[in-house]
Amino acid sequence: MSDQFDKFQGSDDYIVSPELKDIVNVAVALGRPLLVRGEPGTGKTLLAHSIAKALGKRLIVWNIKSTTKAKDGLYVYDTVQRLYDSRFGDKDVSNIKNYIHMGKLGEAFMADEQVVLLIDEIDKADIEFPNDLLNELDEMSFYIYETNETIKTKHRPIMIITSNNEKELPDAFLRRCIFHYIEFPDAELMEQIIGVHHPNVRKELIWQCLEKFYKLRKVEYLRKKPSTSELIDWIGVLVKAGITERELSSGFPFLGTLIKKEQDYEALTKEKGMNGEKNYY
Amino acid sequence: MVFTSFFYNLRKRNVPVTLTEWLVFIEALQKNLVDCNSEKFYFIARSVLVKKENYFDNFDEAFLETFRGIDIPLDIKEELEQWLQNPFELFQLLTPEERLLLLQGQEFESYRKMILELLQNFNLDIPAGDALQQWLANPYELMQKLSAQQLSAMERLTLEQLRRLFEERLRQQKERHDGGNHWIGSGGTSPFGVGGQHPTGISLGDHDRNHSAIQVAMRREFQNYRSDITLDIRQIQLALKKLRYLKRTGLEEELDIEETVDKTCKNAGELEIVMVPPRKNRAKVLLLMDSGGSMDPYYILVNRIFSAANQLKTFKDFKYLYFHNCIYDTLFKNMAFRESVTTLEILRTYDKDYKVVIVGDASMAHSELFSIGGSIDYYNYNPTPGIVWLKRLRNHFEKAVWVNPVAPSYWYDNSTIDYISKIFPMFHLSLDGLDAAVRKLL
Repeated sequence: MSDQFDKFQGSDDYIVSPELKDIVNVAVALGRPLLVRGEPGTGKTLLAHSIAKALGKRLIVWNIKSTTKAKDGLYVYDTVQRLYDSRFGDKDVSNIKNYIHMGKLGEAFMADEQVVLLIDEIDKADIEFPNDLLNELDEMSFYIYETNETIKTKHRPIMIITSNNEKELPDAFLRRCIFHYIEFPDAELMEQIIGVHHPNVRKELIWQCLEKFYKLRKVEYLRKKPSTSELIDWIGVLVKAGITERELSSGFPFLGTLIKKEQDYEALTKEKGMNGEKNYY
Repeated sequence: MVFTSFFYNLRKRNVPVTLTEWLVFIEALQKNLVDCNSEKFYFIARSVLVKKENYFDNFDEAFLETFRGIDIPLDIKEELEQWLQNPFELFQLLTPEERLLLLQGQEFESYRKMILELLQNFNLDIPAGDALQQWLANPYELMQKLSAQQLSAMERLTLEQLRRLFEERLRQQKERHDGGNHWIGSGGTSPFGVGGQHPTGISLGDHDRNHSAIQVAMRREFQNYRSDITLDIRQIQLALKKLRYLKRTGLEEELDIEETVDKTCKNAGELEIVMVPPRKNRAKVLLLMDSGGSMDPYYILVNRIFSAANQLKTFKDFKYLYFHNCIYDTLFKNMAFRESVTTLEILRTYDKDYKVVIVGDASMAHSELFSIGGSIDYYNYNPTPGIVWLKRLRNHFEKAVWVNPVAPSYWYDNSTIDYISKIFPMFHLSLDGLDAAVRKLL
């Protein structure tokens, strides 16, 4: 058995479900990227941090924007800078290597030890973006055209890729990944998660908060349901404001911490809900 | 190979698993990344074979089909350890004579040695600080605490038989860890199984493990994530996300060559680069909806989806019109068919860049489609058959699709649905269908 297998057990600041633990270990052992999808705020990015911490590896984060191109992740040839420098004659423009900057993926490939590479929110980029990376993912090497160099990985990085449910990813890309869907935590798991962030809060207060939270999530017409991170913030606010259980049971203080869309907030605080029943918010 | 039927069952249920994923799965099995523990098997199989959560339910179906009825034994090692932790269980296995012997301390030594030896041979530690240790140290005392029921022997295993069974089980467990692949199929005949059928079945008490893979699969937790059933009101949000494709992203600033050259010249040759942001390329959408009676539940839904999409400013321009069963020479601005506009004017006003989405069940009498005057509305006698109008629309608009709430299994040959699907690419009004339709429009 590989000596890295079964090493990931979660870390002390991140609660992980047992099946996710197994899947992470499988992905690491098989050398395949792990694709994690789920609702926003379910801890996908934090998972990568937790994995890096637990395995004791350096974490490289590549935050994808809508304008990100696959090539930028490998390397960038800064032509504009070179042109400007050539006007002034004080820099050495003859060596093209000075103007080749490694992208995050390139950095991960060139590292001397195995690293954890997080490609965050890959679905933000153009739809063809994941396909552009396919070849590099398979062969773990890429070619720099300008310097005729081939960069090969010394140690295969552990790749974690996160995606919100914004866009579909192309099939050819999905085929190469191990996939995990992070479901929204149930009340039990959520209690543990809160325990990590707010260890000193009274259990009764937490249970009451959880009850109200899940009830709120069930409301159908909400544009944006409150997520884990909002719940954690909300509990923090309640604690700081010294809200007691009694105050909490009769109303919904600091609703704005949980509900981020104006229409939702208005709809909830109206006298009557959409279905005609009274709102308790 | 035991699992090939699983592969074919998955494909039968439309889970898009190919040989590539299957080989990765086999690799995982070969590297022993998957234990006998069947819950782990379920989750790892799922994460390796299924890449989109909308297929999770199909996966569950295939999993149940393949593995239900096969009693996959729980993790043997854990069972054994639990068993060892409960000496009363061990005791029950002995015949009254043997127990007597034990009490008298004669057979006990060999019994104790046997257990310790076996544990050593298979590299298992005696669970530390544990009842077994205590019992091994002082069996007499513990035995006193046994109740009458516990004392009455359930079964009659002799010491020798017990030892052999124990050894065999441990050996099997070792083999499994070394890569054997015959672990499926004890069929509940293991004497160590919970609620096993074997006569010498040892009841290990209530396991907390009520999460066997079959039960996980049976929970069908992901039924709501399916994307191949006709859309309903709850899926508006998801449908909206599909429509966002119509807006192109990923465009960065472009080099404006003319301006660059101009500025550089004005700068006496000093380079000055001018970048210009790209023109936003958003879609213009024309939505035509069938508001015939059978379409009632759907046009409210579709209207809502597209209006919501419009509000999000996903589209540069969005227009919607109605027709009744089939498209003829007039289209209507509202469902009550009051305000109308001629189809010819639509063809003139909206240029070929408009993306056209037609929502309708495409079901009508043949005459409605092919005959002059075939229109179902008595007062709207149409001098041109419906099919001619459909073809005209198709020729004018470069990108047009037809979305049909009727399930594809009902699109019979030689029906009007069939004829219309030959003119417009036709898709089912489900999440998958909407996805495919939007891709076609891009």
